[in-house]
Amino acid sequence: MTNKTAAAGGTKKRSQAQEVWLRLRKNKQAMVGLAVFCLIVLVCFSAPLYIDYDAKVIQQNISIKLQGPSPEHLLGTDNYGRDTLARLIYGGRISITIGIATALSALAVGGLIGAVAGFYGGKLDNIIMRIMDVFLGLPSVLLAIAVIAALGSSIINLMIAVAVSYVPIYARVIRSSVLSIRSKEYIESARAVGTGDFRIICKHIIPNAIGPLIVQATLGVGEIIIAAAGFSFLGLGIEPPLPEWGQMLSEGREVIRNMPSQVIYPGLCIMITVLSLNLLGDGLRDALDPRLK
Amino acid sequence: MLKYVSKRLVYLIPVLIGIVFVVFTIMYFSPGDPAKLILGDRAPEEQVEALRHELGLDLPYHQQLFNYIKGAVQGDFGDSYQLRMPVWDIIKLRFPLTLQLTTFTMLIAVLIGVPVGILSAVKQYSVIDAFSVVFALLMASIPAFWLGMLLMLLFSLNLGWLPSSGYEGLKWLILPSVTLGFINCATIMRMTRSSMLEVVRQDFIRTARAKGAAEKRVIFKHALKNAIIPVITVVGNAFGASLGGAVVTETVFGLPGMGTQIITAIRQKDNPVVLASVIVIALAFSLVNLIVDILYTYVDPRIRD
Amino acid sequence: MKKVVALVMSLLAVVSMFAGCSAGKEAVESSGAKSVTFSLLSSPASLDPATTVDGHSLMVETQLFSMLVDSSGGNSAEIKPDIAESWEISEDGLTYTFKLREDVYFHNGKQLTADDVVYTFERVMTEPYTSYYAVSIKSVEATDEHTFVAHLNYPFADFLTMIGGIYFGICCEEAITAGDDFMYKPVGTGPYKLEGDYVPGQAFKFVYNDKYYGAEPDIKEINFKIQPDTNTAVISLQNGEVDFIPALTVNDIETIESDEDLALYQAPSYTIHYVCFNKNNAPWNIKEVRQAVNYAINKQDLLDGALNGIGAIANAPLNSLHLGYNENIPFNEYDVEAAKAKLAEAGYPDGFSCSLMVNSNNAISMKVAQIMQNQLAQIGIEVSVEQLEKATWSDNLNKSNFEIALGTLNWADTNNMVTYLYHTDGGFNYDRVYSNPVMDEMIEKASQTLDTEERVKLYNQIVELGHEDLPIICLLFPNEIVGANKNIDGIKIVDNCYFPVATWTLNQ
Repeated sequence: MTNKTAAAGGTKKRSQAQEVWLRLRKNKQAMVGLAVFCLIVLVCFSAPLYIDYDAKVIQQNISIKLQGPSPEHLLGTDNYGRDTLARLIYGGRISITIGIATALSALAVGGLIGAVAGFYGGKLDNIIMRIMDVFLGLPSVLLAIAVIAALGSSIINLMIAVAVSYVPIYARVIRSSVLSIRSKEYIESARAVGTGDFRIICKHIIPNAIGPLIVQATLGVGEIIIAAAGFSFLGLGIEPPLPEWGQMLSEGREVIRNMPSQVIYPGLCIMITVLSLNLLGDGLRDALDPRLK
Repeated sequence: MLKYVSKRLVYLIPVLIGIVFVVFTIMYFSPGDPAKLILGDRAPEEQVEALRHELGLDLPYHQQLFNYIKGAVQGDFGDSYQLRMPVWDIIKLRFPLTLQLTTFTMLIAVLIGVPVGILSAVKQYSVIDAFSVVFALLMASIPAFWLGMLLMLLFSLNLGWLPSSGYEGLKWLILPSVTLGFINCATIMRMTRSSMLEVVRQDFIRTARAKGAAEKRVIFKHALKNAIIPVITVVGNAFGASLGGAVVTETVFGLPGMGTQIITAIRQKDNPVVLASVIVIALAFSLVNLIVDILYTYVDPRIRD
Repeated sequence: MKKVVALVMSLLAVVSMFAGCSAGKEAVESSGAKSVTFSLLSSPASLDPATTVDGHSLMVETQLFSMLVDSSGGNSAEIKPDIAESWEISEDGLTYTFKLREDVYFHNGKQLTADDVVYTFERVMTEPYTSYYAVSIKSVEATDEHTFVAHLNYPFADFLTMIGGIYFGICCEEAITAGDDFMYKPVGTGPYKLEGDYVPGQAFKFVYNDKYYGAEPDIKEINFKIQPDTNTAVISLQNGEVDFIPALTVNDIETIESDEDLALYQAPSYTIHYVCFNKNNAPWNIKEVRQAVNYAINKQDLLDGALNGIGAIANAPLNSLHLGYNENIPFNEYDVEAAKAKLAEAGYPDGFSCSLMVNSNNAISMKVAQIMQNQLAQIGIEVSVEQLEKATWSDNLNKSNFEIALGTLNWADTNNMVTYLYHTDGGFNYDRVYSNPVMDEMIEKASQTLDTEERVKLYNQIVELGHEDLPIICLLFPNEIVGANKNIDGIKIVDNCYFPVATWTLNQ
């Protein structure tokens, strides 16, 4: 991806942020995405206020398994007689948390690596980027299975497994935008007054490269939610009885013909969430690009 | 140009060695005993031990790694533990299918993504634009196995037009390529759109328009040529990624490609197959990127230096 | 721009040439002969009976090889002649003399002699894959062209049943010693032979072996298709791409039954799902704790939740088909209060937490684990489900690196079943801790008892002692579920690895 335009922002950070927001507000699709995503987050993360986790989400009742919608269970029950709606809502907490936390940690690690490589350049850059090439060349499934085979499957391990394959991608993006910032005058002047490298990276480089980072993050969260669903499909999901959309989707696959709703509901949840994030990310990309006014 | 290509190829060597090192280490330290997996639970312990010795699995880590690299340098990548045939024979059978699948996938993705991207850039903020953006994003928001299942239910079961699984000819690749093509077309479409938008605003396009060039000519002759570079990058990346990453789709459609190969081999701890597969995928990935970079210079000769 | 197009096109051409030459195997032309298409979940690892560990290979080898006697693939005590037309057993039960048919030819045209049989048996006795099955055999010899003699180490009641198993499929000595890759170029005496090449992972084909000495089968061709995804396989069955799926899940039953072109077959299986404990460590070395777990498990809920109620609750490691099955042994002892009392008695009134290790490649185990987790929570045992890849899971089991684990075991004969689970040296006595001399003695005695009634009595005692000591808890026996095209007749489920297509007929 080329993010050559992202460096255009100056040191007047605040006004830039305001400007971006103003531009974003004009973009209807992005605003719809933002609104939908906020709504989903609100509904899912306030769940403990209105749904009893122990009683509705994990307590099984085999005698009422796989039932259709009823007043007690608005979206019916799953294979273990648990309320599908409650599990979807709590599942959102986990899916979205996995998406955001994985994207953020991959961004943090990848961003730092990319920034260091781009900032110092030369041999160090070459070595770091070759190492990133190594990881980029490894199929993500291999990494995931390796992590999970070694550590067992749990949320954290699933997140590590997915994050590892995103680090080199983010490192590349950040490196290229750092490369274009590095030669800017304000970096030169910071150097001239004797500011340390670490300080320059933290104070100047990262804040100015943050634009493409945000775009990558919003799009990445969606991709990661889908990737996590793919791992559940391969039997590498999170540990039960935690509800997670990907896990619910792959569990529902077994009954796709008898009870298609078990596949449709989690599939729709993933789709709507990822769609809203993609709309937002796309809008952000446009808004951050001053040439696309 | 030749110098550039050879320099890139030289760069590849440390990367490949790094990949071998990482994969070997992962496979060595991950739990599971290959000998036991080959012979089954019912084999007597002495014979398992004997096989372990025969395969060199009782050697210390560094020696095994050294032996592997020594063999690999001489072109001997070993035999598959499970299938007891040279790994290259296995890869020769599997890789072409994956290459075909990936090629068709990218073809579909490009054939949908690029025109729709151009259209929605030319008619920015129109209904077509909004519709195609949402469509592309929708496709990018669907898990592959979900889309695959839905397409299979529709085209194989209800309509009976296409076979559901296996591989006996090109017809068998249609559904999986469409599944992956739809998913990949989103990124291509978005990239085409945004880079077209960027180019359309530049001076030389305005000049061309001002000089009274026909709109079609402006778009195809001038704008597209300049907008296509980032699109090629995206296509290259997606091509490389789907060479090794189509595990889920291959499983759903029962295709004997590299993805299912790798996952089976990992599960059986068939280390020579895992290593060789990863090397091939990484090589292909790098070569695709190299071709992409060479393509740049054709499109825009200024990049050559 | 033109250059780019040209470059892309030439790349494509190269790709398709590359692909076309090696993988572009077009559909096999139908020759008009009666044929069926068989769906396999995964590719057979080998077509050679003596180097086989997976069920898919056994299923396929059944079509290619024949054995000395017919015991339904080693699954039945009812023995019929096959390659051996008659046999004699010595008084002491140690020597078996087989008279072989003289009209048996291998796929390669060579006539079968007693030497091939000797070679086959000796291979089974030494190959690590199969040597387990031949521990009772001391030596074998050919006394003339068509007489084969086996000497046993001890009288072994199931000997004939065992050698009717596919592991003892008679192979052509010449084909193996010639150094040809027997794993992929099998030469047997069965009703079908391999046509073309066998390439792991790809579809392959068997055709009628016109030198077959038995009755000519109605179905002349078998096509095999690899379909790793059961959902996909069912769709293929519905639209006629495949005719037979050997291993379906309970969730497919409704689909198959509601399709009038398809037939569903079900039978009790020999596969048990059970819980094992690592009795090296507390609290699992305390019998009361294991009993508490047994009381806390509602097996009916397990059956309903994991198998939609289809299958059987396991009261012992024996299902209704096993010799010595006894329905009067208490099986569902679900009693939460009793469980709590036992736990308190053992010194854990408030419960504890532990991990339950499960093979994530086994869908039934995964469900059982979730339900058990919920059931054990009721008595204060907080279970975390540890889902591991099969390789890791079995490695951990073998190294006693677990707390409690879910396992499966499949044996048609009772003796192997109880030996594996209850004997001190049993292969699945994972923690290597359970050792009861009385148990060992009874198991050994049963295996050498020729009188069926006597054996059944012993098995009853073994099962009761197993229930008393409780080294494992038996949970479920899922059913074998098979889906097929309705126009195939004669499909019988004996075991999930034994489907002899030669006994089927096809109505077109």
